[in-house]
Amino acid sequence: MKIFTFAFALLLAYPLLGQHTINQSSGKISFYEVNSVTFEGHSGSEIIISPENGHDFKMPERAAGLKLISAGGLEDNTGIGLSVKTEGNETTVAQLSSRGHARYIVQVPAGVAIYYECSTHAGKTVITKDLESELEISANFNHVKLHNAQGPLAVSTVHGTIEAEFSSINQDQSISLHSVHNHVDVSVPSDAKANFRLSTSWGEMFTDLDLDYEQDSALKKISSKKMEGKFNGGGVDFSIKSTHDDIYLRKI
Amino acid sequence: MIEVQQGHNAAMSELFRRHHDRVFDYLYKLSRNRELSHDILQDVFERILHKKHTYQQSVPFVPWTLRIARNMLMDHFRKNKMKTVEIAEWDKPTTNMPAEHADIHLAMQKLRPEYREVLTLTRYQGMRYQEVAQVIGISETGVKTRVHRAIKDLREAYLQITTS
Amino acid sequence: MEDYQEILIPYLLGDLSEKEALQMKSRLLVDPDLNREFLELKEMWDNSQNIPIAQAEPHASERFEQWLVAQKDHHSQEPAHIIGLWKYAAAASVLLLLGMLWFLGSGPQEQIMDQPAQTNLLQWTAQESSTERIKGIHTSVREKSTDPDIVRALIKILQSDKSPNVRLTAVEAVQSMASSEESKQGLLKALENEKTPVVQIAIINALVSVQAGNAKEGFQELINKEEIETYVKDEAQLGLMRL
Repeated sequence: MKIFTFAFALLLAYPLLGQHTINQSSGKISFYEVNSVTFEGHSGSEIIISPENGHDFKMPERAAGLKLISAGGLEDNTGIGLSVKTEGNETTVAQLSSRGHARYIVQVPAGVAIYYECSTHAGKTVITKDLESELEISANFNHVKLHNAQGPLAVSTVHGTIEAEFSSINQDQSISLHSVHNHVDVSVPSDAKANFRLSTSWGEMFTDLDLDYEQDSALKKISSKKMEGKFNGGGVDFSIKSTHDDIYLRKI
Repeated sequence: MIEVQQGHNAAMSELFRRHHDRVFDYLYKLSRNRELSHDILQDVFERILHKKHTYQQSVPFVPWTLRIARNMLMDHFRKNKMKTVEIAEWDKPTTNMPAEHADIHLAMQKLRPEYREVLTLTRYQGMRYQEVAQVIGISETGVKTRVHRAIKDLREAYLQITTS
Repeated sequence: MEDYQEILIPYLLGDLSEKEALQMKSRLLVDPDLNREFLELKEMWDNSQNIPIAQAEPHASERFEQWLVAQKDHHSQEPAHIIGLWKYAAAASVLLLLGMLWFLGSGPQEQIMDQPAQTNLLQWTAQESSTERIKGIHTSVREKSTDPDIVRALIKILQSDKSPNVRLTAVEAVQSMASSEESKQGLLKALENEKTPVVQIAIINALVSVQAGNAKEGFQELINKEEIETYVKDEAQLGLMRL
């Protein structure tokens, strides 16, 4: 019996290794310079951060018994290469190793807003799946790929692409997707409601949506390509912008 | 209430059970006197049973009841020639109340009774202006203005308390 | 609406017309003092929600039951003391009745008169949510308010908002409105202090689009600054050619 208990305890403990849990179901979680992240919506009341299989964080052998620290004085308090600090219902996450190749899967309860900021070349694609939380991304190099998105969203990247598939469009707040040098490709359900606002300076705009264009605004700006149109009678403000590349807006 | 009108006392019992806390809260927030509020609460429901034949189904029950409560409390004040009770009698905030709640509690007690009344009805009884108007017998616009002034005074009282 | 301070309370309660409320929202975005005052007021109002509902002592119910028992029911002649026993049978019909009364009467607790406005306000003015602030900008601009404060507001947001995406939206909004000397100056000033590349690029393009001739100097300065990212400098270079 004792052996059973021990084995059972081991079974329970094992999946917890290399994962960090934060008891938080509201407020905000901010990520700074965490290169590679997948956000997943989940129905729990905890934020769970775990390295993706095969892409987990490894300490060099020579560093056995030592702690990873950053130039800013942060230290790894999670055992997975991240420094996590929670105050009230605000959590800040920073990556310690600038060459870290780990991808982190972050499961986020619907009530927690996410802020993600990454400025370096090391930034990889930010992926989201089934996210219900508010998400804000400010990046320079990251691509952004959203699956089963619904908003609210505020995404900007200088060099990355933005590809977003919406399962529905949340009518609260707003949605904005903005890339400077790459394309923005958005698919929305054919019955979703939105006030679309598309603009590009050097690219083209493509769509198969039936939009009610607002003539007034179409006339106002002729120098750059810019249009506003209501979809299915209009709804939440949804702006899509690519300064130098193309915009694709399609219905599913 | 219809069943009460038809003579079912059990219905009356149920009406009391459902609504007495609400009526009590209104009386207590206005009078700041527990004992008096209990007495008038009893009187109100006795009066309802006695006046059951005057109740019209088209009139919402809660405002109707609170109107009765109000009239009885006013009668009491008139008879006893007192408008409000002394501060000493007011409820002290309970000790386990967070400071900011205790402060607002005190501020509320410093308000003029007619202001405390409209705040009680809108804020704690969840009534719309139109319903409050039915209870206190003034116009809907009058209620709105009174609520705005009440919050203005409440803010001043609250600031005084928190900055002193 | 001259005195915004005077209508903070009606705004808090959702008692303003849609138009007035909108003006107030825009005003709050630009007037930090007023916004602080509003947040303080709102905090107090939220706290006031926590005053407990006074409850009658249990003896109040007993007292009333006893009184009821003492009353002989004229119609049924039923001994009053069995009330307790058939009360449950009657409860269903009473409940139905109460439900109707409640519906006709005060409305359930969820229909507290200021709740929708409260929720709305929370989202608008607590301003913790970037996407909410972005919505605020879109709404203000869409109203095409003649209020000259709007441009000033946008510039202020551009200079102070902590979210790059909100600042980005502010730049686009300024760009979409009739250009004035004030808006050009505001954009230029913002460019000096802006640290986020995506917003720097947006400001450069906005200045080009409103043909702000005096931006050339600013662009040149940017190009000479060491800490500016190369790809931002490229955009400024391109801007110089287009001006």
